[in-house]
Amino acid sequence: MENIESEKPKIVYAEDDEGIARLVEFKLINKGFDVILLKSGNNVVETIIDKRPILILLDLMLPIKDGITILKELKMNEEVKNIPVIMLSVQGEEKIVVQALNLGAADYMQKPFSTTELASRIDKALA
Amino acid sequence: MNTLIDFIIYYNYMILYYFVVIVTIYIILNILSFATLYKYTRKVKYVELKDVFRLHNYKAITVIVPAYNEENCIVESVKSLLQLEYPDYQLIVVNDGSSDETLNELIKNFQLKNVSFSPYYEINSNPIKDVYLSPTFPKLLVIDKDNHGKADSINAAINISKNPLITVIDADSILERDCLLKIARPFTENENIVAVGGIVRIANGCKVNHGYIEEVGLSKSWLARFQVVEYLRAFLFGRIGFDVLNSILITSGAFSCFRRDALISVGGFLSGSIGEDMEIIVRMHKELRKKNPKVRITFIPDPVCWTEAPETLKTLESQRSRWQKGTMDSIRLHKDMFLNPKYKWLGMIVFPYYVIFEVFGPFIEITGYMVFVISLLLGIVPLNFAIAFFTVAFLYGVVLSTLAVCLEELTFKRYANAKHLIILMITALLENFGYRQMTAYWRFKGFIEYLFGRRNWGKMEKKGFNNKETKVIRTGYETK
Amino acid sequence: MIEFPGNIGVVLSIVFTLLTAIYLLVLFILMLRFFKQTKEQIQKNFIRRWEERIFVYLATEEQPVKVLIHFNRYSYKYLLLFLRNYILALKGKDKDKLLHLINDTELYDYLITQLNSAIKRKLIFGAYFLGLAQSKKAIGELRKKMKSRNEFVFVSCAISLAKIDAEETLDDIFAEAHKFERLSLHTFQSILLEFNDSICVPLLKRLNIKTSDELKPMIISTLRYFKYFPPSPDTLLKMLNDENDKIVIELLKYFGEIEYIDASDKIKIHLQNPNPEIKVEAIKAIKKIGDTNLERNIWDLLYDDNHNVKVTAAEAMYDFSDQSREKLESIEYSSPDTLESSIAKMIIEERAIQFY
Repeated sequence: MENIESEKPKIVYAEDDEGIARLVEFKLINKGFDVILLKSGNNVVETIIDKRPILILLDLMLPIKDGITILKELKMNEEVKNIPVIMLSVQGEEKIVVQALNLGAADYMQKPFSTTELASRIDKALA
Repeated sequence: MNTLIDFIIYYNYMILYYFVVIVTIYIILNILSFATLYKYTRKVKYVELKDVFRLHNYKAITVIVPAYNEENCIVESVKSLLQLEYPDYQLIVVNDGSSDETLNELIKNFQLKNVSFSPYYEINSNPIKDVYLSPTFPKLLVIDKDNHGKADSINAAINISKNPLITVIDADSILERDCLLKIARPFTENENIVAVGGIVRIANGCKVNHGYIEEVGLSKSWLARFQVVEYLRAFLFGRIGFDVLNSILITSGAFSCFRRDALISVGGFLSGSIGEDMEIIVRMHKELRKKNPKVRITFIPDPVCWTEAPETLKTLESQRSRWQKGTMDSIRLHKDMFLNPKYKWLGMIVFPYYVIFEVFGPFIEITGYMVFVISLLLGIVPLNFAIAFFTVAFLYGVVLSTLAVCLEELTFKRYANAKHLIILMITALLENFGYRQMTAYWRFKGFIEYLFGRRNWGKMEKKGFNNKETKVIRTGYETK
Repeated sequence: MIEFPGNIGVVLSIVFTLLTAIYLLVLFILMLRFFKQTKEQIQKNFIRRWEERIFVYLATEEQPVKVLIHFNRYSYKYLLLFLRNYILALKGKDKDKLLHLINDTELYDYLITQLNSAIKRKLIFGAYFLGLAQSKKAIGELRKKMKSRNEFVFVSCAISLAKIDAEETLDDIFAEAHKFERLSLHTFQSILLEFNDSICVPLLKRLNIKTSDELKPMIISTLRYFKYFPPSPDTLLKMLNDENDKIVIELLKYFGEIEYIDASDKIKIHLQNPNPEIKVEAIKAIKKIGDTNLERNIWDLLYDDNHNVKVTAAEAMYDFSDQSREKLESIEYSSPDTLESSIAKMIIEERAIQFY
């Protein structure tokens, strides 16, 4: 799929809901980003270390390894801890959102979410 | 002499009738369960389980994991149990006096800190030695106590927990992420439900990654394959049929959920009973339906709990023998329900069913085979008739097993790989040519052993999932 | 030797029947699998072809009717199931566009046809999606269909009406709900919670008129989930005198949740209620309200007979104020062999870890 290293800024997006993932990917590509989609928590950290994206979109509930665990690992890794992370969570999980922010997440969006708002939060996080 | 021959002939008839009756009962149960399942799947089609996160009207759950000598898998298990999807739940791991590093592994990996506690034993349980909490994993609580068995561990955890729903699982159960959302649902739909069981599926052959089922598969081991069909036939479609009569007498210890107030009012699990997971259910029927005849115990049919089945004959034998003794123990403890009109369907129909077909069943079956072979050798039965007789008996069993595979294909369709489906159908055929007889024999042994006093647990050997080594040897729970 | 009655012929015909049965079952299984795989393939193709079409629609100012031209009527069902996921996950402009796509095109007519079908499965499908699409136009139809004798149909229609915020149907919903003996309070409440929080006003009115004691706690807890602050809480305050314990418990939880300080006088009385469950809720309510006048009453409850009450009192003391926390700590040290001291120690250590 990606043999040539793209010049466009990369975003790693970890989301197990494929439909939503593809919609957001569509919008992000239109905005000029290169999107790496991951469907499970399995190798998110390794992919991030490898690809060095400028931003990470991280769903809270991922198979195999959940978002909070991944966030903890990212923030403990010198090479990637400064990449801004935006958490995506299901509405109602306030305790976890607070935990994520305390761990160093740049921002969070609850589901249901607006893609326009997501775009502006991404811009904010990258500023 | 004539009377002896007559007796042998009548015994032959009896075994044939027995066989036909039990298979017919199971076919009826399978069909009944299908109707229930069809209704259930229709109902949940447009239900958003995650609505509870938004609507907030959920009941908090405590998940209890009794653990004895699980040092190899406990950390991994707990890590994946901490990632379940539910708005509010607590995970209590009870270290039942393990002689290995179970507790230390937990302390190390979850930064556990010892806290003092002031217990209030609503249910009788042996004293708790220590309680641990984790600052980094607020959902986790670990209890340390001396070894007194699974029932006692669960009771201790019930005493410590405050949440209205209690889910009990085995330390090596593999649970799907939304299992709590699913098992809590029946309690919300009917306020008379006091316990809900989950149906256990066989994990052998599945790709399991960090406690998460990545891909459902079939093991290469024929023993495991036989168990898959057996579980579908007997535990999935068989048991749900009893749900229609509100006569479920057993839920799996690997995954079941109870209302805490119901558990407290019956005094918790019974220590020293061999099949404590069946015994509590029978007792709940008995005591709670006295006060409220509308009390119900039900199942969720969704495949949310996966467990490793034994792949060696020795372990399987030990397991089946233990189950038989457990059933007999629970029946014996509550024998006053037998043909007792106070308990309606349960007392008059289902309880006798269990006594005849589950308790005495193996005895009838094995002695029947023996008598049949004797009569064949003595020339009492003509050979061609004998062949026809056995063919009917086996084929009828094959119909049942194939029906179970068919129902799985109609409902959950978990075996996506077509090759696996074909293997399942072949297994359904072969299951009746030896496997069923073998399990009947082991149950028969258990039956005899129970009657003559040998009521211990035996050893359980298991394959770990993420280990490259094939054997992790553990001993089962010791009863005192 | 006794002869075996019935000849081999009978047995053989049984064998033959059984073999046929097995053969048919196997055939049936293979057929099911074939159909399932075909259906999945169709759905996958569908998604592949039309996904981008919908994404483009969401990104532009295109008219919904123009988009629907590309779909034929037989694919409406699949289209709706496909849109479902997005409608649930999105909000804002995207969601509005998706709802327009359903409400302002033939999809709406299709759903109404489904709703009016004699087949229950289709009715439920129609009701569900009309609710999901928040079709105000469909309120009348849904209201009609809600008056069904089937509980499942009633619940589906009622939930959809609630999602559409059809407040005017609230009375109908209550009336119909009474017909179903087996409808659980939880399900009833889930219907109410789907409404907008403006439903709290008529709900509060229902507490005045002859509502059964069975429903009152459910209504109060619904108000609590909405965090509704009533303009004049007198009716609710008066209900704190009710004899029904369940109602009192829900009210205590409610006043705690909205932190209604004027309720604390009445709540104080319940600190002496013979029912320990009520005492526990009263303590929790006072803790949330934070009325410092009642601080010492809570301290006294640490010495109550009931264990749960003691523990709740200790927790409340820790969270209430610095003064109470110090008092708790002093109890721990001053009388070391007492139950109260060990409870105090437990709470203090627990909290220390939790707030690490």
